[in-house]
Amino acid sequence: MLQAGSRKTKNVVVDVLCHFAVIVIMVITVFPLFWMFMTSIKMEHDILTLPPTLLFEPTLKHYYFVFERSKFIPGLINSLTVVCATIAVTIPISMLAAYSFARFNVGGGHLQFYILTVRMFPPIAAIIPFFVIFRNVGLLDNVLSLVILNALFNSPFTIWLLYGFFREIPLDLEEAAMIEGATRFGAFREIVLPLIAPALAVAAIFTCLFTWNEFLFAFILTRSEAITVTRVVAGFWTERGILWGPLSAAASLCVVPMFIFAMLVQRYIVRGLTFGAVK
Amino acid sequence: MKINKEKYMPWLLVLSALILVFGLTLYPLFHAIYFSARNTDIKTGQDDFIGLKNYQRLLNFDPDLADSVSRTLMFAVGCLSIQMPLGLGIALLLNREIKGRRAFRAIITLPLVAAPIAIGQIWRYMYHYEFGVIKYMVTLLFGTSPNWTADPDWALVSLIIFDTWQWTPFVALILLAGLQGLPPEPYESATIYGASALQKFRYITLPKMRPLITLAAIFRIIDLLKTYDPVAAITWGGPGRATELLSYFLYRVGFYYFWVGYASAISLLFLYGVIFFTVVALKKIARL
Repeated sequence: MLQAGSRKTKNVVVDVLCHFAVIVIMVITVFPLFWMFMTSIKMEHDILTLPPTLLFEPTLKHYYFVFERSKFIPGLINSLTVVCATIAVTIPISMLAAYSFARFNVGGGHLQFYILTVRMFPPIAAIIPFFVIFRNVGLLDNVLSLVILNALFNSPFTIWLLYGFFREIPLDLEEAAMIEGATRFGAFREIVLPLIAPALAVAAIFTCLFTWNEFLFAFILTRSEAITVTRVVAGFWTERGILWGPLSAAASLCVVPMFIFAMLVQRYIVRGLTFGAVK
Repeated sequence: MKINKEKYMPWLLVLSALILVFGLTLYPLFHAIYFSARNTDIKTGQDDFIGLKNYQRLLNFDPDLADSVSRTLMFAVGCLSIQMPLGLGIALLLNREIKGRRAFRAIITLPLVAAPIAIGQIWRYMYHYEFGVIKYMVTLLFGTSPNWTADPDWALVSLIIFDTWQWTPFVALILLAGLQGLPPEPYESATIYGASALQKFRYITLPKMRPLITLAAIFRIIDLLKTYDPVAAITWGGPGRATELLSYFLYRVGFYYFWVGYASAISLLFLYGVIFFTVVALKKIARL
């Protein structure tokens, strides 16, 4: 845009203000994460002190504590089990359903709509009957109960997300293959699957994110055998107060892997978080 | 074509998803309806049919329930009225030619993917009435600071600030996607006619962005109404009951007092409330 002299100085001012605002927002966004990491490498006396310390002698003792004296490792194994099993259940089921919705419009949109409302259920309202049911069949404190609930709550999301991706694959490609004699399954496997594979990866990563971060189900349905990472992170309070150091160390270990995944799906983050509504 | 042969295939494909979704929603739903007519208490083992008494208690405005509902609404309104304008502001900022824009965009996605229970507890530490860095910095800046989560008047505000930190990027990223999709032509002609930046924003950007603003707000409202993790991470509903939002109240009724019957009745109404809102809202989105 071309503008006259006084306008130009005004633009410079606006520009400086904008950059300043960006810096402020960045600092506020990053600060809690920075503080989490700092606290995780501080000695107790540096954690509980005023004014808060910026320069201190770092220590890794809280990480040792987390790995050796808390249930972090079993929690990690459980979390990974739940995440992998949830993905293994959710993705194939959602892929088939999404394909059917995208190509045949099964249920005329109503079915899809009903499935979407499931995702809107407040988990706490859904958990009470599930708690009683799992209690009756002996599935409390069992990773299977978490897999079932995570699969249920994630499948509406993955179905909608994949539905959007399937719609972007031109129908002509499949029809051409079918005219040349391929079966629908053959056309799906040879033509559609390679095109949808990246989307499956995106859906799997989002499922991983939501399942890993999930706390309420794990909190209510597990006690000791099946506790997940989030459950371990929530367990650092004692009669003498909260163990801030180990808590920060465990929180860092819980949060950082998801940052890496988020960077992988950076391009799709908006699309993912809106179930494919915003591209 | 092989249409006839394929008549049942579409249904076959969705079958597994239907079993998962219907099986796992309808059965518990009936279970909840069944329990909502009983005074089931899994601690004492009491379990009798009491008809509609749970609903009666609920509609007679159990004061604790009424308080938690009004708190939840206050929380949701508070969050929404900060996050929407702020998110729009950040989106407009990111839509400008700014150095390091991609890095900025990547950084603001971090709060969104951090487990609320993990990062929330870090905020709990930052809000600490004695050693909290937030209190320290606010005192440094303004000379005085509230006790945040330790003060019943500020505890809910503390939760709103945390939620704003975590979820404003969500609003910003959605609106940014919208801004980047706006056609340049209306702006060009508006510039030719001498419109100011404010006028362009008011008469071009806002109307064109309305569908996305609505969408972001609806997503936010649905999530805000079910807020649980931040309460569990930061305040445990306290001090007193100052931050006992509906989800947390329901947790206490169901899993602290173990009044499964009453909890089921509240759950059902909560569920219907959210579903009603969702259906109305989604219909609105579909029309946009």
